[in-house]
Amino acid sequence: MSDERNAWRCTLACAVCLAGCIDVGQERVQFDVHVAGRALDEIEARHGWTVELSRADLAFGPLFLCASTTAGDLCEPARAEWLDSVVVDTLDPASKTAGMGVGLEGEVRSFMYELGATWPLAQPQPQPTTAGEALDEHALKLAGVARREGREVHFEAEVAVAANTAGRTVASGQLDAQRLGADVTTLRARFDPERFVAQIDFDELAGTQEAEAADQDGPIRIRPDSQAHRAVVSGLVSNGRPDIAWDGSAQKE
Amino acid sequence: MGKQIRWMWIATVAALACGDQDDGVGHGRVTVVVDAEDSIVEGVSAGTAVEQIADGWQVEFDRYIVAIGHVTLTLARNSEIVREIEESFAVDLATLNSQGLALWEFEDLAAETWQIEYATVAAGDADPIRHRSVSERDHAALIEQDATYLIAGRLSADEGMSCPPPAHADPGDATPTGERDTGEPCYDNPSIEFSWLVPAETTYGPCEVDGVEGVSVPEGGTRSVALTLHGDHIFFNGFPGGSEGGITRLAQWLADSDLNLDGEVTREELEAISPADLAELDERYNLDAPFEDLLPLDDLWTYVRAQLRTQGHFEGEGECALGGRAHDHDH
Repeated sequence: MSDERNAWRCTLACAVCLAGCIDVGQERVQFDVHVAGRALDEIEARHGWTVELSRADLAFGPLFLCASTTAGDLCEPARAEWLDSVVVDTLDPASKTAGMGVGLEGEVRSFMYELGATWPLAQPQPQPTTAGEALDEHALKLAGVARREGREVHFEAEVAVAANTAGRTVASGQLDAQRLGADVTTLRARFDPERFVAQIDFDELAGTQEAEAADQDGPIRIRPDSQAHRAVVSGLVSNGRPDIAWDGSAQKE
Repeated sequence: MGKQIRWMWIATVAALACGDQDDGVGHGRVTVVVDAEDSIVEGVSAGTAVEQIADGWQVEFDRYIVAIGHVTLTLARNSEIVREIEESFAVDLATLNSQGLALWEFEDLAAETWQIEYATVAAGDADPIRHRSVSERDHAALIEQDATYLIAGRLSADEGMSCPPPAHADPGDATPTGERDTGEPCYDNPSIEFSWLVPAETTYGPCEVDGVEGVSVPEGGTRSVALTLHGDHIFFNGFPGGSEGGITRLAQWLADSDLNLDGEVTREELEAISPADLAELDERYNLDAPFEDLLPLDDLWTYVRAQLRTQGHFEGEGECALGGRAHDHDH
């Protein structure tokens, strides 16, 4: 047997063996990012109030998908990302294209995202995203009317949120484990605006001086130091995270 | 070395590297200890240093009992090789010394790197073994309430006040002695007790320290590793999801939760308050709790549960991915 033939046989043996135990590289994946809201009639709020929203525009993005079960530091590097941002009319259930996400194939178990601003490590304070700029440097612009026993309270709010530490995102969530592959076509993020207002105490809001003045002058503008404002922030950051779904053959692990 | 021999040598090395068993590899042991952060044993003082409580309160814990176990080691290069000890223990972390408490032993492990995971468990399901640091009464209470933690202690501050949200407050005959910037009345309340049985079942792992994952088992020796529980997360102003850099510790929110000003914050009081109802939980806080099964985060009891579920670490400040769902090994 010649040395050359032996060399080829050994090379083949190595190749077969190595292919079985070494990650030979992950395929790049691309997918459309679609966003949507939810059609609502009336929302049941605290203390028997019902709410009808006329506006709930949300500045969403960027979005990062993580292999770890929780996002944050353990999401470095992200498995996939969509680096743009978009204003979502969360009262419109129609799905709209927001852009293209890119990443590497593999399993994702959590996600994190920004709402109107991002705070890079090198910056002294949060910077507005494109969508945030479109909403005058806010995460959410909200308007509606709350009703109970014949009383109507018209209200509006402009709410900004940002991470309280540089280098972190403002919101995150866990996912049922999904495998992103080349055949995944679309990521769908659907927001439920009911969650933005569910914890507002309209008894308190209706009892404020602003409410009395607003009866003549127009809607109450929710103050940043009010319970209603904190309720919307909490609704945005914790309870209002989007439901994430995929089109294509993303497989549940 | 001739070409033929050189290629045969390469093929042999590659074949050994590809094996999914630990044949030919030496063996060693791992001792797993449970370890308490200083914040549990010594309390957290008031002050301006990074790890102190920044708003004037200090906290000390009389009991910090946790039910912990289900330690799993998975061979890093082959996730099908798993060693697990299901056994869990109820331990009062407030009694531990700096050495921690050795509770689990793994023997005859391949001398390689193993990923490590563990869980804080629901005592009713897991029936944890009672460590001598835990009274029979507290052990029974943990199991009966299916709790993960029993935490008892107190907040104190010489000029401490509670400013409960007026919509929920029941101050009785108490006279306000001040008010918040936002106008809510405040009352003297310099010492505030708490004693909670808290369900906070969570899986932790894989764990890493400074980006290095798992446990490296020495050939013929024993490696000791620590499952470290932190004690101050309920005072964090956010859910850091990893490194705790940038976090501020604050306790006024808990003082404000004493709705009837009796010097104790109960589970019932925490359940009655939405995070939005507390003026204290303002823009300094980020309520991005990482656990889907605790949403909606509509009351402060849920907030406490979520913070406690982030307390599992590894080797001091090492990080572990947070699970929080049913324990499984399908990963």
